[in-house]
Amino acid sequence: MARTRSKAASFDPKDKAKDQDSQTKDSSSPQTSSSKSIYSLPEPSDRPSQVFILPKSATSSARIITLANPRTGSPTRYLVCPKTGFFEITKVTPPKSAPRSWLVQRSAHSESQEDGEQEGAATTTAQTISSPTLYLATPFDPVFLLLPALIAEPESAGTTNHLLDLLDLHHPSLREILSSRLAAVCDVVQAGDEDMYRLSEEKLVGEMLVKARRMISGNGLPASLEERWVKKALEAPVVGVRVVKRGDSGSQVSTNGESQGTTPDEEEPALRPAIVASPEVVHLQRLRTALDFLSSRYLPPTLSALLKFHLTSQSPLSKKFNIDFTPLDEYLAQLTKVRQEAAASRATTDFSRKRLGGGGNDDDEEADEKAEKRRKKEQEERIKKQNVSRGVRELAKVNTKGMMKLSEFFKKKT
Amino acid sequence: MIATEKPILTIKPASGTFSKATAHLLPCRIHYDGPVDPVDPFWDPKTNSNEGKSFTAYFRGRKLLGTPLSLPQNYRGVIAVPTAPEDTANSQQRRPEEEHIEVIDLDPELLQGSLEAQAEFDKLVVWGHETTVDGAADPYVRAVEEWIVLAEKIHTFEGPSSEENKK
Repeated sequence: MARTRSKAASFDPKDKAKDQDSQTKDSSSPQTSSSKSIYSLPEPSDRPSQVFILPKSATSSARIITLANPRTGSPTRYLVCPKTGFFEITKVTPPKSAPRSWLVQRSAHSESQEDGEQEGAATTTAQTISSPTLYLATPFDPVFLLLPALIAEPESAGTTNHLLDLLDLHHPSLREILSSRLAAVCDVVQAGDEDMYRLSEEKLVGEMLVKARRMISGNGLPASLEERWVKKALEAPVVGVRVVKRGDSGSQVSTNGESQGTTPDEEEPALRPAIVASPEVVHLQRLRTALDFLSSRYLPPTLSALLKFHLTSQSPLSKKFNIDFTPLDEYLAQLTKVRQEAAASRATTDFSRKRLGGGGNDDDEEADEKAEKRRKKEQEERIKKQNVSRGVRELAKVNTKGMMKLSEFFKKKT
Repeated sequence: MIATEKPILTIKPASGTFSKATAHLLPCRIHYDGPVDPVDPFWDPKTNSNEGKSFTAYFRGRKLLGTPLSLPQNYRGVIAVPTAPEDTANSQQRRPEEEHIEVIDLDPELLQGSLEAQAEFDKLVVWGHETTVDGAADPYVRAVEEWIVLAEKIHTFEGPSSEENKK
């Protein structure tokens, strides 16, 4: 950091692209003329700004507090609003291969900015933020925060109470939300003037199913999840299926000894997936993906194992909730079989297709081979192209055909 | 584990109303934090003809194409500045090794100190070199367009008063 800061502060004219534009803009520079550039940057702020996306329902009294992550138990920050509840903070960063930075541009009515000393011109003010991190706050169901405490060992079970007490001090409405969420997954017993809560597996499974069903309702899962976990997971390998057409094409059967010669029907190889998932199977796969997502992200490991068990057919609860993954499991078993077969027979398919489908004609066969070779070559080229980085591609030799030779420019003028 | 006490983020405007901003996510690293005024001479995005679905800008001689992302109705973007310097130093030290976290991840550490909102934005533009970014792969596009929707679906729950429609 220190290195780049000093660079920015020294106003190296080569390093600042805006110097090139210096002629066009000369009115709005408040800096001294002793600098080489008419633009000079103030010292970089040692308190860089950060970028957040927050729900509007999080009022200005919302606070960020640290709570144990329900899945891992490690301290995690949550945004808590005393009126509307809890929000989960997700950090978005780009992969290291794609550096990013923020440029924030705002229309200038500059009373609230310490850097907006320009005299109210119709320009925009801007600032850069070198860290590309984006913090995204989304609503969070506090039931997940309560679950770890509910399954904790008795001696450490004070956490829930602690959480409740803590929030109770200031915010009775939060306590109300929390106790209603507790009641959603717990059996409640009145003990004296206090409510006692005990985790109910049935309620928990029901609650998770409600959530999972909601996740796949409407437009279904988000496109990237759908693609990866539903479409790819259920996709059967594409195999050549013979479509037999009855017809008077028997004349095409050649007398070549190589041919099998006994098929009077023309056979057209067609490409089709071996098996196709029924809508029911797709639906179940979506539901399972949603449940897996929930349990792997928000449930403590013991509870996610519990949930998994209750969704198999051995559990009495699965009947109660009318949930049956059997068709999906059957389909998946079939799918693995088909995939294995496809992988095992890949080598032989090519061979047999040539023999059976080639019509026995030598020319045809040659053409087939040629086509095959060409296809392979094209594929290789495509892969090669993909592997070349953008920079290298751009540096590749330009096609200079039809351009004037460089030496033309250096000839004596006639 | 559980620690709250002092407010860490206040999202109240410091003085009066927020100024409306647009957040541009540039496809390059800028080793500078702070104001870069005047910005107009070297940053002048133009709307393309395809109904505002993309922008073009030239930045230091490179052509950039931007994809605008509108935040959902009930969300807003906030630029906030930390007001506790000693904590910022910590978070800056920590930043380098945190960068290999690839996509979307829960962040245990980075938010430190109290934060004060500076500006608000409702439009985000994600820029790519020569091409627009691939929406299916870009973590920012996915976060704004997919995760918010999914998170709302996961985490809605019936309030204390409406127990009956669960059945």
